[in-house]
Amino acid sequence: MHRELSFYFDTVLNFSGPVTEHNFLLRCIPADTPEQKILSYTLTVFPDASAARIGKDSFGNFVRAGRVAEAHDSFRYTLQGMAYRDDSLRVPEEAAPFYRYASPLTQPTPELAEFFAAQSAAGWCAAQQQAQQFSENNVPALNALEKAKILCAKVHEHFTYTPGETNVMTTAGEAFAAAKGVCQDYAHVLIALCRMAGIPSRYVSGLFTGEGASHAWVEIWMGGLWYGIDPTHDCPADEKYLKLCVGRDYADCPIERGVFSGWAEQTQNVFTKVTD
Amino acid sequence: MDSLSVSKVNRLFWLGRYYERLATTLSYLWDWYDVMIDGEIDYPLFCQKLSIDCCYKDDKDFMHNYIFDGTNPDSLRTVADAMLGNGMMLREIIGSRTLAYLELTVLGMKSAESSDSPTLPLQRVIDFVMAFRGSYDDTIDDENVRNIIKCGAGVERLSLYLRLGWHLDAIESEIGKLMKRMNRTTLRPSQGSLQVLFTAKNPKTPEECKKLLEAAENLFTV
Amino acid sequence: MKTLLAHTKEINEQLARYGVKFGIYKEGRFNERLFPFDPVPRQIPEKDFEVLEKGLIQRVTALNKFIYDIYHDKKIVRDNVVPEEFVYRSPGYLAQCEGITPSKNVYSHISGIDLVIGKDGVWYILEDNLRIPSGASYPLIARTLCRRCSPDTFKRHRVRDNRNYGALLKRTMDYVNTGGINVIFTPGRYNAAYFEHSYLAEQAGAVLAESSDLFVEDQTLYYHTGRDPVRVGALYRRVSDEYMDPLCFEPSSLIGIPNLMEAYRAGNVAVINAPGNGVADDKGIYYFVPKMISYYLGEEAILKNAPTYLPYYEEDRKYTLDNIDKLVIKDVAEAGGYGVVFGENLTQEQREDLKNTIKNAPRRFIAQEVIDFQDLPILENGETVERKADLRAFVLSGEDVQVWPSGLTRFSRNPDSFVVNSSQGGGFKDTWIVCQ
Repeated sequence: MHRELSFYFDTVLNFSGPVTEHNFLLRCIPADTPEQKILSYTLTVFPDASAARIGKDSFGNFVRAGRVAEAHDSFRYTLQGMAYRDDSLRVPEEAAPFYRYASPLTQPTPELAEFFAAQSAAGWCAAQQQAQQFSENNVPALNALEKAKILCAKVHEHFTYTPGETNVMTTAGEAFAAAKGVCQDYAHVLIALCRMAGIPSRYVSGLFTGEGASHAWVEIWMGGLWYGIDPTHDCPADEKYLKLCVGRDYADCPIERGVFSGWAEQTQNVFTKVTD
Repeated sequence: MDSLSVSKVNRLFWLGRYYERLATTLSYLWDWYDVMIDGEIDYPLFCQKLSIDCCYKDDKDFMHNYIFDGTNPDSLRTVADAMLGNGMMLREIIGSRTLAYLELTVLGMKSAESSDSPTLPLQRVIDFVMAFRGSYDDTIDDENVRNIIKCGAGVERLSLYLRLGWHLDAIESEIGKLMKRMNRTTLRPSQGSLQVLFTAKNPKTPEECKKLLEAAENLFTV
Repeated sequence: MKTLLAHTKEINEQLARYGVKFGIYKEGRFNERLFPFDPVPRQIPEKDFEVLEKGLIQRVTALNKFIYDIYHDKKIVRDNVVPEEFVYRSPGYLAQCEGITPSKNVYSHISGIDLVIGKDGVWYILEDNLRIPSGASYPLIARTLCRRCSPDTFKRHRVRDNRNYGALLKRTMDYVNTGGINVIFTPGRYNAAYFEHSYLAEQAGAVLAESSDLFVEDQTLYYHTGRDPVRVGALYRRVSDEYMDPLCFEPSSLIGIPNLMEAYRAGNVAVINAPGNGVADDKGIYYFVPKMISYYLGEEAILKNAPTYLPYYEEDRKYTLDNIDKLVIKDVAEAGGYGVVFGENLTQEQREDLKNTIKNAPRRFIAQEVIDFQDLPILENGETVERKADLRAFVLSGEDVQVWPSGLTRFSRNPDSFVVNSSQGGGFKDTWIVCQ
């Protein structure tokens, strides 16, 4: 079902002391695709870096790089705009082959492999049997999306949503072993499992309807189309979701990354609001 | 060389300071080997003048450790290593031929260390530093590069003379040389230090020395 | 040769004078030592070198095409010449480089190809080094110093001059330069090959810089000066891919240049060698290089690979497991002489362990027949002994592909070792291309 989303995404980094030579790379400009048409947007960065050239990275994300040489003790970027979302408008595309292979943060571990083996055998079988009950004919084997949904439910069940237990470097294996984490960890584990099942899958950073922080989910590829699924909420990532950037895992597509000179602690305040 | 990075300017300046520190201090201590044959040296006073830790057992220990011990951060061996380290990072600017004299200086320090008559091998060390001075002055075309090294050396010489109270009658002329060299560089001197140095005469009192020393040390912020 | 040998002492003094050193980390401490030099050169007759030259040019040309293909159309994978997983599971493959076309389409500007000569007189390729192969500076300066110490030797032997390496390097940098100065970017003074970085900067007339000297603004790389920044057109970086740009690769890197990849991607600076080349010098990909040569060039490979088996293929796996005691097994993820195991040196237990590891992760290993090397004479404590040695040939790709008429001959100082790596205590020789 199509929706018109109005989005607002504001991040403030505060430094405990002045920093200089601050280089940054932002991936907060939403993807502009047939199913997510960006009607309008503005991005303001403060302190403003002189040149604001927008590029694209190897994953097709918009990137905005910059450098603030002068001393400053806060850094803020604010995105706002309107998007038209309609997943029925997707056009077929090929999935890059690297989306089928384990990436640095989604390497398989023995525990993940074991979990995958158990879930895929039992879960796929159960689903198949259930479908068979209502049908006279032989039910076809599960497709990639159906398999991914089963794995998604299992991941959701396995985890207890717990902020503060993991960080941006936490791997799928580590998060899985702890069974605690946030959206990023749910996504990494689901991606690892999908790739074990031979399903091309990728990490998505974005926003979704409501107020709060940014979110992460998964897209899997089947028959030329990418399908969004959200393991944190165990549901499809539909038109209520606004995609900012994608990658093999988080490390390929952080929304903001920066390095600077100066000994300073950094705190971050994020506010997002998406309405339709 | 159309341009020097800030870090290269820094290294050129410190290259100058380190070779001058090595050569001037060695010349100062030179006679002490002779004094020690039948007398004593006042190394605690020396340490006090240079504001370094006086962690030496006796005259002999001082002369060996202060000159040769690479693990002692104040030693001349450490100064020589730092000099070579800066030089190595400037190879493409000063050239391998000139840099070789710095390698030879450090090799000379190493071979003097094991000698029972270190004055002779140390003389070679001073010879190598002198060869380095001649070589860079002669082969580096860029006036800015040459003079940044010389400014480092000039500041170091003033600093040592003023701290040790040595050659105080040459201070005025050393300042004059330094000012001339400074004007041929892109270095930006501190105005406060400049005012003090411009009007300076050869110092007579410890207070005058102290004031000039402060001005010389703060002349350039590199 | 006797004249040259008689000057060994002077040559060593000269090497010390010029600081021909090699850094090494041992127990967390950085030490520099002189790189042991053996004055007796490896001699290659000019007509043999011509064959090597043709073969190396062919190989590097194909490797350059392969890297372009992998980061663009991937035809060789689609056509099933190279199995997909050898590419995408390779640690050297960088998805962050997908779709980037470097200046003038050159990826491997400086290739270091390691070869050995067998007792049968045949040269075999041991491995390709397409990331940041080091070592050219050593025979380069050694030649200059040997000529100085023993001019008569060089009057008697007609040896092709190798002292043009700096000029070749400059030509390569100038060709891909996108407008601006040439810079050699070093991780700093405490790098194993620091001597080389600084010597090559001098020889090629480039500026030697560390990360703090460089910055990116508006997708352009600049060299910091006290005044106006100076644009950099070609960056010969001696920093590995993963530490090159903390905003694209390893975020904790302190030796990188933030947003360098943005300047590179925009085509505003040539990065030498291109990031992502590791996909082509992977020990697993090595097996496929002769196939690449026929795929891209329609030619038969002139130079042979050492006979190699891929346990990934069932037939090869069986052969490897059955013959493990006469094979050398290499872990494809390791470099610098590490992860190399000779089956014959293992205990029964270790052998079984290795077999199991291979069965569980066949993609991780290659197995090679142990080549019966021609040993080279080495002077040790006044005596001549025979030691294992290899040759690193340097191939420079710019407007054309050229082989430097020399090379780094490395030898093992341990009589029982095949490993010639300088980080494992080996020494080096000059390599002479001798005219009749």
